[in-house]
Amino acid sequence: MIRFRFDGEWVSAESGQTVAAALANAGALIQDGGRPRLAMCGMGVCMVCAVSVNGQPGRRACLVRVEEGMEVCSQ
Amino acid sequence: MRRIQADAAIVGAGPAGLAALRELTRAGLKTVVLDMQTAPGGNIWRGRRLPAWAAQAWGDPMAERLMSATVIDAEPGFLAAERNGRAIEVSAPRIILATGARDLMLPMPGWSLPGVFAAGGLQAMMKGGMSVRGRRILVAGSGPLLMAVAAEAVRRGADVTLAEQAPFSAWLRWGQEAGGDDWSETMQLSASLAECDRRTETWPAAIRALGSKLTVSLEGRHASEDEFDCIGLGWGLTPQTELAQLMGCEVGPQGIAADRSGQTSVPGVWAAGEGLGIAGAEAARQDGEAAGLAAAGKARKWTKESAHNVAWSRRKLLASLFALDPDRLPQPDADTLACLCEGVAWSEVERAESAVEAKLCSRIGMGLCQGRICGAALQARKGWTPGPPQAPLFPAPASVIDAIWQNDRHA
Repeated sequence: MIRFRFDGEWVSAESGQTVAAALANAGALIQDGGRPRLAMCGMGVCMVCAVSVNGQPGRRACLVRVEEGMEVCSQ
Repeated sequence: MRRIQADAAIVGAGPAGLAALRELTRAGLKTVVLDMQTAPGGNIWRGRRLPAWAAQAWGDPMAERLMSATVIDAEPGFLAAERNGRAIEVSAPRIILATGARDLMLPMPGWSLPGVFAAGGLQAMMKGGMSVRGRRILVAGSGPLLMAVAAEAVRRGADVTLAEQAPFSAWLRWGQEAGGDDWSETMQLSASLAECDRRTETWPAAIRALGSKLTVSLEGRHASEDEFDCIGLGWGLTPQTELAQLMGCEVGPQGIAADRSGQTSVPGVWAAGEGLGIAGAEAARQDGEAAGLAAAGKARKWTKESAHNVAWSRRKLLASLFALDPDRLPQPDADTLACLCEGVAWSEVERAESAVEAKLCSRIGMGLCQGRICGAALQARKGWTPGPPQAPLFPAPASVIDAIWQNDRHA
């Protein structure tokens, strides 16, 4: 079991999961004005799941694997 | 900035890229493979053990593996990529583009709601660890991929409805033609599909969010109104040609234009797999082998059954069996988003007469995805040709773009 933070809240995930899958399992949504989003293409093309990871913006949650203590934020 | 010199470079580590890698490394050529994903196999082999030949090629000492690497700029002999926030430049006289395909999404009411994925996206999410056990899932649209996604969801314990716009005969015929590639896999697929609520000549007309559920109006032969937890939509696959276009390769209506060895219109650049047109993993593997041999300078004998012919008969058959019937497609309404990145409504672009005009009046296609989703949708719906892709092909940190563009090559 791994724990990471999403928009300040702790989220649990299994090692090897993508950030996008972990957010889906936690019922979390990426906030974007009034239009919350999660993911769409799942392969790094559509940018729907763009988040910041450890302060780096524009990362695709579907292409990043969860890591202990990772800081993920809606952009 | 990391600089790599190699004899060959391959973009994409799916069946086509790995088959090309096998031929290039066998020929003793130092070959760099770049892929955006964290593991090799492409979308088709995601989360699965690679076939023995592919695993062997992947582990070859002549192979340099760069996963999580996104190619953002290129020209013949040269690739620039972003990897974990750093710039990488690859110089190689032979470049093979095995960039694969993505789902064709058609804007429809509710398609932008969270919980609605592309069909391949739903599959990738499941393989990435999204739990669907006990969930109600709809897989809808058209094409053989839907069957694979529905079967995956069944195997993971979901309660699945599969809605295909094409008639039942399309499934039968495709099963007969493509089933022989791998019989045990086909039997497993059939067994999983037997557990789905299968509906042909049926399509989703609208999706609405109701609490945490998604309510879908299905229309056609097996119409109903049902609630789902998750939806995967796909109306066929679109070849990913952006990198080829950026390198100056000609692109036709099917995909990247190439001869039977995968040689594109640009010397030193070959293409293989779904980028050439949609034909499935076995055809992609054969293409990759052909391109790898050609790039390695090895002559080969062509027979009637060889790669090019098999792949191209597949491409034709697929396109005809699962051709989209305009009467069996969802229609966007005025509030439907046409462009998810820029939040552009369908009504804002509906009256435009070309992709360029639509872009000028609405910013459609100018968002983070560079029009990959909305451009293909407008092409399918309106017949508009998307504008040419531009570097950087994907968003990258300013430091990476600066490092690449300050290079003499771009001065």
